[in-house]
Amino acid sequence: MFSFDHSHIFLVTGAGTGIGRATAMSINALGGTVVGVARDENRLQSVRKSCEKPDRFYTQSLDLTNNLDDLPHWMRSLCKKYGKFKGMVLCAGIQQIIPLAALSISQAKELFDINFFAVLALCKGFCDRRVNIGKGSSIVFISSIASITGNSGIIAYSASKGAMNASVRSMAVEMAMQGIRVNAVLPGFVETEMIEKWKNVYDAAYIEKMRKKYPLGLGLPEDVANLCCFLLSEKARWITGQEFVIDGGGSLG
Amino acid sequence: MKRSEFIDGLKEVLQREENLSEDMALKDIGEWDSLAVMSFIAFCDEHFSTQINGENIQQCKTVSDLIDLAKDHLED
Repeated sequence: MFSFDHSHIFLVTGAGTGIGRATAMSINALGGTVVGVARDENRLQSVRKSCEKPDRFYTQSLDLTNNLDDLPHWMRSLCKKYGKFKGMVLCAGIQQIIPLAALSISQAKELFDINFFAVLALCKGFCDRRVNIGKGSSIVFISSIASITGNSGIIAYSASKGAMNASVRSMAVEMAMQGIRVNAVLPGFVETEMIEKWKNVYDAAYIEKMRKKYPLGLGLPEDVANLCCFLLSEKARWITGQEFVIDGGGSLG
Repeated sequence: MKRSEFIDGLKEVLQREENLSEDMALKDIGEWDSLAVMSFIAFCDEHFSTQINGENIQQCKTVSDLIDLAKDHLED
């Protein structure tokens, strides 16, 4: 097993809900300090209260797409406030379910802003030598199984996650010199609030169909959080530039 | 761009906490590595719309030599 020290500081985006919330809480429970980022401060405060060690959970409410070019400077300001980061888990993202016929380019750009360009800007900020601890640093992207499988209505979404996967490999090589590891986690169907938001699409019948498709059943945010924590830890010191599917076997059939 | 702004820009390119001085030897600057060279080329391209030749950078021994590469675009 592994644990973190309170001096190990991790940035988690999308920390207010779903996989981000579970990851932030898992890091905290393992002893690490979390700077949780989300748009909704109330949700972050709720996560903080639920943490095992609330004094090691700091909140930063921000819409990451407000000023993408400013994100690297914002990362530096966080570093001055909390200290150098050991890791970062990028969970913030949105899903759009829009068939190609109805998809506008501005909608696709909006999706790429949060799912890919915000990720790129945050990585630029994190990889600044003045922001990370150097050797032993780790970045985890929350991608999606949708990036390597096909489904209707999610062309822009799957493309944004595919862009993320592709950037992981080059970033891993470029950042290895600094001792920073970069990996992507590709979850399958996880029961989160995002699913709730799209319940007109993900209705009971669809979820039942998914349950039958997944040999180990549908996933929970904590299942993905456990893998993220492992990838952040020293136990993963020889792992970089990889994509990890975690889907209860859902993509095997 | 003024020389002082160029040096500040170089400091950002190097992601360096400490200040730079013109007489500093590049070999003594820990952050001056192959990625920093690429970032320096991109910096000059972005600010001066000029492609600095990699071989010319290799000839540089000091911060002052790097400034000389961009001197046509700098104010006194």
